[in-house]
Amino acid sequence: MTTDATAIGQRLRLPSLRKVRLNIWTVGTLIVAGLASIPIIAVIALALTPQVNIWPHLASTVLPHYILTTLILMTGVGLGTLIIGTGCAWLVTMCRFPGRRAFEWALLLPMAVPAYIVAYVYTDLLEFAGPVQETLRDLVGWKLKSEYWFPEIRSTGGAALMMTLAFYPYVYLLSRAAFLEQSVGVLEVGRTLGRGPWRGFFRIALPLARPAIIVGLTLVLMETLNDFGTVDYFAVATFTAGIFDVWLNMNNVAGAAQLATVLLIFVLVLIYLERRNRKGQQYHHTSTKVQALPGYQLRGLPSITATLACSLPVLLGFILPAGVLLNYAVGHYSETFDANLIAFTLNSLMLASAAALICVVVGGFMAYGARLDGSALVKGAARFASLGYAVPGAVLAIGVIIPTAWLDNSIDSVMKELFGIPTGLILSGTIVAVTIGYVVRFLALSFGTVEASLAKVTHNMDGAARTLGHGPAQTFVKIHMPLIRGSILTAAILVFVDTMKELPMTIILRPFNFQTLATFVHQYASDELLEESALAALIIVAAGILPVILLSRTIGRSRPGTKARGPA
Amino acid sequence: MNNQGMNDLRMTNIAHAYGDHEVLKDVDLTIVSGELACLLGPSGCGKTTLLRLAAGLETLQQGMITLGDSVAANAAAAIQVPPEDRGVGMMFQDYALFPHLTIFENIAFGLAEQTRERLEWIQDALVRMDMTRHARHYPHTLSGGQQQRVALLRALAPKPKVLLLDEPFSGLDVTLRAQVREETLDLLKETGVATLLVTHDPEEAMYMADTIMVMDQGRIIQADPPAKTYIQPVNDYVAGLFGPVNKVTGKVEFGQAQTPFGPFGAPGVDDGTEVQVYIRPEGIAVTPVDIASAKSAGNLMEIRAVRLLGRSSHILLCRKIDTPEGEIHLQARVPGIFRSEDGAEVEVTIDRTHAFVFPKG
Repeated sequence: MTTDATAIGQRLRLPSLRKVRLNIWTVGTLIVAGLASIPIIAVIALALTPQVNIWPHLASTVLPHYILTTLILMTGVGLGTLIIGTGCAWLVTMCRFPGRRAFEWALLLPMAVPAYIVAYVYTDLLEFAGPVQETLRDLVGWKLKSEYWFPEIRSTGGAALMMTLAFYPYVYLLSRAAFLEQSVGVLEVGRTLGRGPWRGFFRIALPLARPAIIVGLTLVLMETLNDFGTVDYFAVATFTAGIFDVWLNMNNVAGAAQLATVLLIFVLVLIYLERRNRKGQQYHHTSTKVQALPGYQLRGLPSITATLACSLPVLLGFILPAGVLLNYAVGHYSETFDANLIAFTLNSLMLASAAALICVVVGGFMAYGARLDGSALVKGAARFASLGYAVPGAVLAIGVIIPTAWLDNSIDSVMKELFGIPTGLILSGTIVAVTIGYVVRFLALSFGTVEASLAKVTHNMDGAARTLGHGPAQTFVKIHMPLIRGSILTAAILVFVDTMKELPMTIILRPFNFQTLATFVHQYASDELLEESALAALIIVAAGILPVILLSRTIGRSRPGTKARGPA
Repeated sequence: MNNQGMNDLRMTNIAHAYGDHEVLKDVDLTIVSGELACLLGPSGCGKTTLLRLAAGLETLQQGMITLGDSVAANAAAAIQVPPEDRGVGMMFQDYALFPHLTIFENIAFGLAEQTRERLEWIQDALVRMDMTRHARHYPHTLSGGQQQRVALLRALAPKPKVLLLDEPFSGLDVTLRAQVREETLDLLKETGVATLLVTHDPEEAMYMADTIMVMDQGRIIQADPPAKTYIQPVNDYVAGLFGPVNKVTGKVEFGQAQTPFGPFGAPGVDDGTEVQVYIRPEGIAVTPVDIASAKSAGNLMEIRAVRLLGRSSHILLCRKIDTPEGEIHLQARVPGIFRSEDGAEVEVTIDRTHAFVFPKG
């Protein structure tokens, strides 16, 4: 049986030109991941090499205030979304009450309304000249502001409330999925051991769902740090607001970058906490046996309370703001539906489509490259490149400006030297820069979606296709693409919609006088012209409903075992 | 179809590790055209890794793999031909059928060009396996046995030089397994492709293989035809593969292992060595004493219990001896139904071809 290796080697002809095969997938993935990481690295690099030391100044003036406000806002939004998100998720998964099925997806609707639009609408309703206070004055007979007390919506607390309404669906979605995955057995054992519904929730279901809830909360807090529209409008001095202030009003880019780095530390702490929490916490798949959840049948007062508790977030987070916008849009239709609006809509659509397309192609390439290579280096690079989603838009915008400006200057000086032609700014302040920003920020969405979907395709499929004579690219086209096309579409829609809503990066990176729907709504609402921008806001909300529909469709079949899947 | 000698699979001096965990050590094997070799061993012994190395799905870390007269991988020369260029067919344990393709599309997936000859081969094979009506169906509508057939045909369709089968029958229930095994064996013999089959089931290896390669802890410890593997196991591990065995201790004197059941030939073992004699239950004949009384000077034992298993009977035997243990036990397996009272005296005869002597250690 045993043969002498050297003897065989002498008899054999060696395959030529195949000695070392440069793996384009590995190299390509590393290059793409590297490019996408540049903005993040640029911010860190800039902060580490300060040219003007503004720290003493910042520390003695605004820094403590920024930190405090940001922390208060994060605490408020975190608590609010935790209570509403997990509470509603528990109710719709574990209890039976009127309207439960509708609430399952309706509770997602507030996702469609960006926080800043919620803020504009509520300010419009609740400010001194708004309909609520006006009605109150008419009823009681007050005339002056000093005659009565009314909560000030444009405050840190108000901002926390607005963001809670806009962001709680993240916690709801993830905790709902976690509750659904829990084995009925575990909960039933809990009941046989004398745990009632309430204690079952706090002692069994909630701890089991903790990893998922924390992922949801992390997303919420990242969105909170990212928000610019709301805090700018409410004049709440958070870090993101501070970056804009230092940059646009004080004209201090280095200072803005330094603030951005502090904000980045907040984000890194969040990611670290989330990762640490995830480690060794994979205990929510306790059983492969999944049955329909039994559910507690609610009657009488508890049933009415449950219905009310679930309607309130939907009402306040979606129906009311969308209703107000619709009302304004219809009332001011003739003045607002004009050439400008069409141009802004086209701008938004163009940017969102470009970002979605690039993200899906790049994210798909990275996900497949990481799957093929499987080494820690490639996987780590891909992960790092998709950190952009965690980095607040304002920070990322600075990270985009630094390298693009450098590139522009380099090209300009080279061209001037060689041909005497100044090229000026090719990237900075153009839609190219904006698009780069979007891609870097939303790459994680497409990469994550495609990666998760690819993970469900067994590696033996790859092995089968490869041994049947198909190369990596052919295998991707013939096997993976058809199997994951649904997820590719989902990824594209997620990026598209998030780009439509995006505000802070767009404001910083857009070309001069270039408006998207989001910047237009922000500008008009800031000038107390909400009525005139209602139609534009409504278009953003309408686009935002797309992922809600997608998600609610997945919800229908999210419980494993409820529906067998077959090929399309 | 048969081009003898051209399509051998040779794996030389193979070693492989995942991190610090060595899964393969010094593995050498050759499989020639028309040969079916079974890699037999427990799960986690490195069988599947060896198969994946042969297919090119794992990068070779040490050694060399050749297919026919071309190098498929050579670790020292950094040659690693990708799987799609090797012409090796592989069938996976979970079949890995493409869910979005029909049965026909699955089988034809590996054809570089759909020649008339190959398409006819597919048609014929489908007819033979009674699968023609499923040609336009999708894999999930098929039973496990049908999926297994599709996976096999898909691997064979492009006429691979070598076929690799990873636990091809493990997903099937016992009754179906026998039938599918037979079909598979027929088809493989007909195509004459060199085949390496991985299994953890000794009976399956005995049934299918021309050569059984027994793997233990990343090494091939014996590579012989089934009969020789069964009759001449190289060590206690191989001897124990084919079911539980009786172990009797003894000492070698005058080239023979002396035991309470008489001497057993122990060639090549030094005198004075403590040994263990492995006796297969099926190598023990049990005769009622009244018939054998004429020559009952042999091994008399007492019946402790009889378990009737249908095709055979399992007998637990016992004898009192003058050692600290007090008594020794033997388990015998005899064909048919064995009727006896517990406690009855019987004569026990041991077939020496079912007994193996290994140094104790």
